[in-house]
Amino acid sequence: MHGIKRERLSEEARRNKKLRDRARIRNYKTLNAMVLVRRDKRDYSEDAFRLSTKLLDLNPEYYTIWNYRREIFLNGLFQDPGDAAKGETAVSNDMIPAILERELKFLIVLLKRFPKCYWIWNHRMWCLENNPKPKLNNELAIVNKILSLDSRNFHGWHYRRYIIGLIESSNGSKSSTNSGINASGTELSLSEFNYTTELINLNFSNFSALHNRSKLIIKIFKKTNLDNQYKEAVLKTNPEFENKLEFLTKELDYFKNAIYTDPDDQSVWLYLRWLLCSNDLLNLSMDDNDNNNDNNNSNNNNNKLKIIKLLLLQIKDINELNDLEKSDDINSLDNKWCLKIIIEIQMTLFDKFIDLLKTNDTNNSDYLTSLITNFNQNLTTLIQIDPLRSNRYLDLQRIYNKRFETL
Amino acid sequence: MAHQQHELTLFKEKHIQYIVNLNTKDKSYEYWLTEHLRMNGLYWGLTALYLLGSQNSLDKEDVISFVLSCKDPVNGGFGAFPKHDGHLLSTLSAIQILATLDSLDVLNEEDINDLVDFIIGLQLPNGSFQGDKYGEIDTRFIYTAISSLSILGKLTKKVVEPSLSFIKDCQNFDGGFGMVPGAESHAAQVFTCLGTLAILDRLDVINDQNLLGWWLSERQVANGGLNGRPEKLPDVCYSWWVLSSLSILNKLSWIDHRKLRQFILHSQDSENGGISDRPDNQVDVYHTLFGIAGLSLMKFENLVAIDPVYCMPIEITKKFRRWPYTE
Repeated sequence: MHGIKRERLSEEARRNKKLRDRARIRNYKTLNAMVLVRRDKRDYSEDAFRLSTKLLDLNPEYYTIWNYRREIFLNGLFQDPGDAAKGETAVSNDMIPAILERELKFLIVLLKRFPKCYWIWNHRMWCLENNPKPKLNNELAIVNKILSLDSRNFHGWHYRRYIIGLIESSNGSKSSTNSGINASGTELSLSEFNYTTELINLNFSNFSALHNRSKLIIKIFKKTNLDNQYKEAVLKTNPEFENKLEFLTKELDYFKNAIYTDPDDQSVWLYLRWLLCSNDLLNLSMDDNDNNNDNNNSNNNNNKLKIIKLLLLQIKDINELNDLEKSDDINSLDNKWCLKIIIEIQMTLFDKFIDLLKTNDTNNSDYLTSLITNFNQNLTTLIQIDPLRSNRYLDLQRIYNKRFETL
Repeated sequence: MAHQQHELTLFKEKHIQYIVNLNTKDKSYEYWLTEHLRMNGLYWGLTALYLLGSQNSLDKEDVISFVLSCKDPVNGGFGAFPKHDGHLLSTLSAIQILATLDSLDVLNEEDINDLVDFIIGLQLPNGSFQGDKYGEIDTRFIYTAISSLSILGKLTKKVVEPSLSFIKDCQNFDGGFGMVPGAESHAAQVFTCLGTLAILDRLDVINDQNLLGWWLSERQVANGGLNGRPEKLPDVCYSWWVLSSLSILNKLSWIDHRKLRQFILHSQDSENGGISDRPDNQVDVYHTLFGIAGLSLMKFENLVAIDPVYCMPIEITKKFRRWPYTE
């Protein structure tokens, strides 16, 4: 039982519950038996459908009954009654959208009570897949509502990406532009990106939104690289997608405010770590000026130097924030997350740029020595201030210092 | 308070009684509302009893005949209860129960073939598995399918290769895994993906194990409990999902065991037995198992050792045929 308080019932309360339960159990068992008997008889009638509604309303986790309900749709309600009792042929596939719309209404009522029930979400997807004319924009509006009530509901996010996927593929099949990427589909990635900005503006501690943002950034850059027309359209509203290094700089600026507001919130830090340390963005940045075919190698090195500069600047900025936090702390302790991210950036420098850091450029080579010293100091401090994870820091110290020996 | 914490222990006898009595709660409405979890519940209860050294406190014949009564004659899998449809979730539990009771031989060749056909038939061309024919896709189902086939010794290259590529697509920037490609990392999904990779002896598929290890270690919060995603509340079940994942990555020491033990022990019902998601919440058999399994992985309380990959006693899993098969 997730999140339900343990209660000690008094003798009387227990007796009352038992009494109440006796009636509820009788009702539930009777209903259950009625539904299962009908299923055995392959009864796909309206009556069987109504009973399954009643049972699922009591217990939406009862997956077998969702299966039965789908059987009733496929073998009963969706079927053209043809020469059945009424002798009319009117009911045919044309009725399916209306039948399924009604089902979606039933599901919304249930989702309000059970927002985390997998089976309901799954049935909702089934309804869309079996509807020749699904109203996908309605679904998007519904999921907006659900995420505005609980912005971390992972069912809601999953459903959102699912709906976006359906809209994209239905757009794709309707219009086919010669570039292979259709205009409305591309706008969708961008509007989804802007949606994450909206949510983050409301509350930057929304890791679900940050996660989705990371996926969309990769997707948008992939498309701008392939399609100039698309790129132009994107730049009209979102000039930060001009190139990756520029994007990175703007994004870091945008999130700086967040880490200053609450330096102990890990969501933004984890996202910043992605921006600064993952191959996703750093590799993209390095590829950036490749349209200039001459001097590819030196260009590449130039880019690497730009990134090193950017990373060093980030370390400096985060150190400043840490100093502020330290002076505010009663015990003058360092801020855990500042140091955690600084060591991540330092490890990235060691992992990816060690060759450039130890070149004869004296500035850098000096820097490398002090970088290593500082890295070790940071780990030693973290062992003190973040004791839950002290063994991780000890492992990192061991791994990296072994590597430094061979420099 | 500190003194009181020091004395906290695992109430083994109470937990055994709690589990054994679960099947006598039929005067409570909730008992009837949870039929769809009965097979899983039996697996959770039996495994917890085993870890507590009390695996014989359920009647073996009763358990086996219940499992067999849940076979779905139409699709060949196991349902959660008689007349409930076969589904991967209950199928894995059924197989785990029989294996734990050293009774897989109650399944005849036809039963096994039905099972294997049912499981393999649920794999989609992209390597993912649906839970049943109605299409729900989730990395949970890759784990349940692969673990089931592994226990039965029926893995094949044809099933394995696409599964690996799907799992690869589910890894995120934070190192974790989500339920499908594009979905946010979640500790339980991390376990299902790592567990699958460990069964298939392909942990090399993971991009950056140190990053994933870090993300997992950050699940531990100040009170010692573990959460499933950043900025969420701790929950005893993550003592299993996170800890087993760290164990698979050989980084079990990356969180504080003593504090996690305190959190789990504080979530016990000291009066009636059982463990809840958090201190003072209602207990259930799911959290009871995962609390005890977490303690076992950390080698506390003299519990029977648990296998982090199969979530079954090591005594049992050491007999499984290992992939890749040599003969």
